[in-house]
Amino acid sequence: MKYYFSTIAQIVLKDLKIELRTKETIVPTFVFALISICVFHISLSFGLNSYQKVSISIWILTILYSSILIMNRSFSREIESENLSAILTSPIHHDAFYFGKLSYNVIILGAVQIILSPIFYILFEMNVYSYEMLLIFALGTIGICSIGTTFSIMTAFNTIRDVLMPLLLIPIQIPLIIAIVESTNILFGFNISNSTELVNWILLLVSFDAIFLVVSPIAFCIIVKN
Amino acid sequence: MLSKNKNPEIQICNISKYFNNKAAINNLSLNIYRGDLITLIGPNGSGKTTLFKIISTILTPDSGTLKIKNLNAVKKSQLIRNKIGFTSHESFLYKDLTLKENLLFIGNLFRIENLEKRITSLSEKFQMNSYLHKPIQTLSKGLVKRATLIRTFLHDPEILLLDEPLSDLDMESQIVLIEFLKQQSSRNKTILISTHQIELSIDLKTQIAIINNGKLVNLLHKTPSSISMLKNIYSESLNQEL
Repeated sequence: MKYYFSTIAQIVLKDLKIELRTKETIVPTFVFALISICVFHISLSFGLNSYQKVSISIWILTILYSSILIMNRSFSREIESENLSAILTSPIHHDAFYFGKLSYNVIILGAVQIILSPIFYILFEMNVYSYEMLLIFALGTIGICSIGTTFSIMTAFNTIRDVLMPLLLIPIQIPLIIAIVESTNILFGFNISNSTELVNWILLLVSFDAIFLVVSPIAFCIIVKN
Repeated sequence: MLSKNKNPEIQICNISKYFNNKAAINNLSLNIYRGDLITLIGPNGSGKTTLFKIISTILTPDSGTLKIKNLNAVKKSQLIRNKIGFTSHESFLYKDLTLKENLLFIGNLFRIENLEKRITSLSEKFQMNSYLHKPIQTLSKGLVKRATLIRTFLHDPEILLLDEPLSDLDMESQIVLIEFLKQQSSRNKTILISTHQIELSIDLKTQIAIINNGKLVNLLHKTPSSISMLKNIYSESLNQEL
């Protein structure tokens, strides 16, 4: 078990080390996310008196598309110089490799959200700094990345992976997106519901994460093996 | 030949592998015994690299069975992998990391004890000590090849699969590698080398397996007559391809 977790840590540290050196994922993703929320802000400020109701949807869309950029890059450095083969010829559990990659994707997507949140707060006057929001975004990030990591290895060797990823990923994430939108709407008082409903939506997020944290590594191992 | 009384270290039985309905490996069978030193010779596209990738468990055969150390290589691949060292055309190294960072990463995945000591000893052997802290992308092709060899030998594997190990190496490094392989062979390691340089097999006194169109054409033991036969077959198959 110690070796299993050490393998995960080794993979995360290796990827973070490369990312810190090259910044080839976090910088373009952050710039993309920044441009997206700025464009949304400019376009909405002319048409709506109060755009706060749609602001959470804008945040979710921005994060969703940013996650696709992150996940598309996730395995590209493994394919360069066939590094994937080096990992696959080592005696590691393939699911440890999955959880290493998943952790890295969660860290990068989390970092993008942390850097972006103050700008979002300034532009949309939405205070996203609460424990409930943190919990919803954390569960949402894990959900997005858990399934995304599996799809990223599936599409990694495909020449049209940039097109393929959103086509495969977004339909599967619809229950997750609905749960995030509904729970945040309740939190901000846009949807008149009681706290029990909020708990139910959060439980749906937890269930979604749990299912995909079980199914995704299994699918990942099958893909890697074949 | 005494070793043939024992179970083969690598037992390849009627394996085939197809890419886009074209057989890269076609019903190939071969038994390799502990301590065997075999050179795999064949023209480009004959299936040497695919065979290496199957033995190293990167690829799974579409049919047939592969046993390594009496274990099914498809079902028990995880148990087998730390016994195999595989060098391919590609470096298997992260270009943005230094050589030492790459070796530490791979070494930790293989759970190598005294990893630092092992890295130092191998980098000394392949004269790479001064490049340990340099990123792979700053190294020349020859140095990357040497780094790749260090990565392959890092976990002291019992089975060595070396796909064209001499390519990109200068004369001095070639001599170092050949001496290293002789040393490994004397330690009863099983070594499979693919090469276009017939001289290497003569130098290492290996058995010679000729592979063409994914099939094993011949398995020769090193004698002067077999070498001349090899040269004839090899040039014929090359001519056919042209």
